[in-house]
Amino acid sequence: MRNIKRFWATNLLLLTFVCALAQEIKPYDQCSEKIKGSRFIAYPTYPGKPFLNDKFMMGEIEFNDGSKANKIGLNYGAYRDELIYYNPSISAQIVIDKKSIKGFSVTDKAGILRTFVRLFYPGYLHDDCYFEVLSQGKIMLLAFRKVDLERMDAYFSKTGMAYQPAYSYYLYSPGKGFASVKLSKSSLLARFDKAEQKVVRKILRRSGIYVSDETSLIAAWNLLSEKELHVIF
Amino acid sequence: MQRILVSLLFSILCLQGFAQGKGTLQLCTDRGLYTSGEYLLFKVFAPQQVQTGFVTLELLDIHGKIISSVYKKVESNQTDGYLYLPDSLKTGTYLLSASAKGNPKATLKELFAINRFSLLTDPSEQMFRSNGTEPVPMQKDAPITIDGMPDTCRLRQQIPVSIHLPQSLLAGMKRDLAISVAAVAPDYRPLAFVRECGIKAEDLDGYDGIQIRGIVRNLATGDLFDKGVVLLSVPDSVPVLDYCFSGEDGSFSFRLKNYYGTFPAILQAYDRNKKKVLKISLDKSDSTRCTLPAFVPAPIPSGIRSIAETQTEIVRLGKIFGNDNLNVSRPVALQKEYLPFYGLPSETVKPALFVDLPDFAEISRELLPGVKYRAYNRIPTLEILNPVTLNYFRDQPLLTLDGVIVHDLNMVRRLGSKDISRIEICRKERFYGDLNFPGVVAIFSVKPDLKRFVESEDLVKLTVEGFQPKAAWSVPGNIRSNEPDLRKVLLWNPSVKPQEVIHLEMKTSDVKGKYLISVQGVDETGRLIIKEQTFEVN
Repeated sequence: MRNIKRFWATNLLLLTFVCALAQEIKPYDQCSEKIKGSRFIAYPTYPGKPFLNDKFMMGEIEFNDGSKANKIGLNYGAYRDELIYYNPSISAQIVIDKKSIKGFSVTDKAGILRTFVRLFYPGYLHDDCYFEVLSQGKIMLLAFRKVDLERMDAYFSKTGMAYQPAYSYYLYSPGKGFASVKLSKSSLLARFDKAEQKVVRKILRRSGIYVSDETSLIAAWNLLSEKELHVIF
Repeated sequence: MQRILVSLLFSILCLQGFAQGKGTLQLCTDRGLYTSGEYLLFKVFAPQQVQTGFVTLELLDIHGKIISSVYKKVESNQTDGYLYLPDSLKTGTYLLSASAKGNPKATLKELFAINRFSLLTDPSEQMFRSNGTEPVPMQKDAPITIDGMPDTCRLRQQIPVSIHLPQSLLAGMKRDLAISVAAVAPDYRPLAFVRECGIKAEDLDGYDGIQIRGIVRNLATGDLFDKGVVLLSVPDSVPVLDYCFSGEDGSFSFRLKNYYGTFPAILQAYDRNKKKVLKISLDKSDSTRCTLPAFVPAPIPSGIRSIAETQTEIVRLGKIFGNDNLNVSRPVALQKEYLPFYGLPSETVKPALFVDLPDFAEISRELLPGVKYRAYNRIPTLEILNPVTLNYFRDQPLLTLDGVIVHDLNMVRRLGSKDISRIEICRKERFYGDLNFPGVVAIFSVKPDLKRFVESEDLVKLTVEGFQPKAAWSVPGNIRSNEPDLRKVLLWNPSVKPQEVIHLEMKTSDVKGKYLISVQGVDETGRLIIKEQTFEVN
């Protein structure tokens, strides 16, 4: 009996050793692509939140060639729609060139990973924009996290100006483009043709979702995208 | 106790046998006998569990000296390509080595090459045969049937061939088959074997790029220099720059990922504090790191002697008639948008659109907004106006000429409107990785010429061998009867999808002799499967 135990123990040890030896050597996780950008110019100081996060959070960027740079301090500057990266080795805040990346993901204060993609939206005159991906799929639900500097009542802001969120939401399909959606049931219904609106209403009623804010819009879209209904772009 | 020992031994042998086939690169060539000035066609099957980004193919002499080498990207654990055998190649035995980073063993295959300017007239002349101790795992005479192949064929005869693969073999074949039909010397069979390859630890830091390595030293003291900036510039339509910092031992290395063909590059090194001049020494190895087997002299087979003269004559005639069956495809450019390393320019100026200006100082004064280039007392200075602070940057901006960084401002002093095609300016402070540039002035000359850059201790010009582009061996469609068809390789298809019946069609050429049809593939254990059949063309 002891012999059998010894046999199995030795065999197991040998197998573990061989398996450890046969482990594939993983490629070195190094960002060979260099981050391109220019120095960040501070935003004017007014009340409100011009950034996605209050401080730099760990994130990942994906370059155009598909390579990734991870564990870097990132923040999304919503006021100018730019991605700011902190380079600790040269102590500089750098605005990453939009054209050099496909997208990025950053963890927010609540620990939720938020993913952004760079897309060209014909409605905005300037460069490409960063859109937050709220729901993945063949048709994506995106949010453009724009923050505007607006005139405010002096009771709210002594300087008379403040940063105000001006978020907009879109359904996006790579082949078809963008379709604007507002945080309301009627706006969501308008994205479907008459025949399918009935089905949409039924699904929303049965699941008890009333589209009134971002969370409910995401929940509603997640349900509808499973049904693969035809969306009007 | 005895039973335990036997079981243990059995387990070890089983595991070893299993691992052997899986970890070996399998190398196939179109034939074993070549003439200098010809192409050698190869196919490599990479082991399934090693995710090597590329393989290195080296042509070695029997002393281990590298004669030529190519890098091939591996896709779906296989790749194929070609090597040109230089005209000056001496008659003798050579080795084709296939190695991959992260794979401690290289596969070597023997071949014999005849110099096309010297014939094998001396009967006492001998060849060297290797005694490779570890043969590659292979199954010769696999259960593959080659149908429709006559024993004797006429010149320029169309031959339809069908290859039948049994279901048992098909199930384990996940990669393509390589099929070749080529002229051979029947009594010469080249060996293939596996050898240990001395891979240094730094080689394992990444698989997916060609390495350029070296060290930097302090020119004054000769000491190895720590944290020196080493720049690698690749002049192109979209200028490319890569950089790295030297380590404590003065070493640096670059990995080039998506470069195809041969291209020029410039290496520069400088001290960040701009106090010391650095010297670059490249790590150029012209000998293989594989341990080579011993070679023993052997008589040259009579088969090689008998066809040597004809073979060299065919190559000579082929050169005269320009018979080239290799079609090399141009790789698709990855970067579609114009985005140089210094970012998109804030201004682009084309001096040709304005009045002719004699030198760069005049151009900067008249045409370049926010750029101040002056050459008082022959000491040039360059400054850029910061658009945010509306002051000139304290440090000198980055100046490039045709994509290469220029440290000596005198280099551009004499460039006038006629010499410059365009000037790109970035007036913001730019960052590229850990490097920062207080503004950028990028000059593109009408006739880019790297001769403007004089090689020195801290500037080295290189010709880099990138990945070999894809190539296909094609058979000419219609050859007129009065044109010679001098193909020694009648068929080379390294990407035949394995299926139960494979139909092939080939045409014999004007070259008489013995031919070998060879079907080569790899089974699920990584073992090479070979089926060969000879026929004669007369």
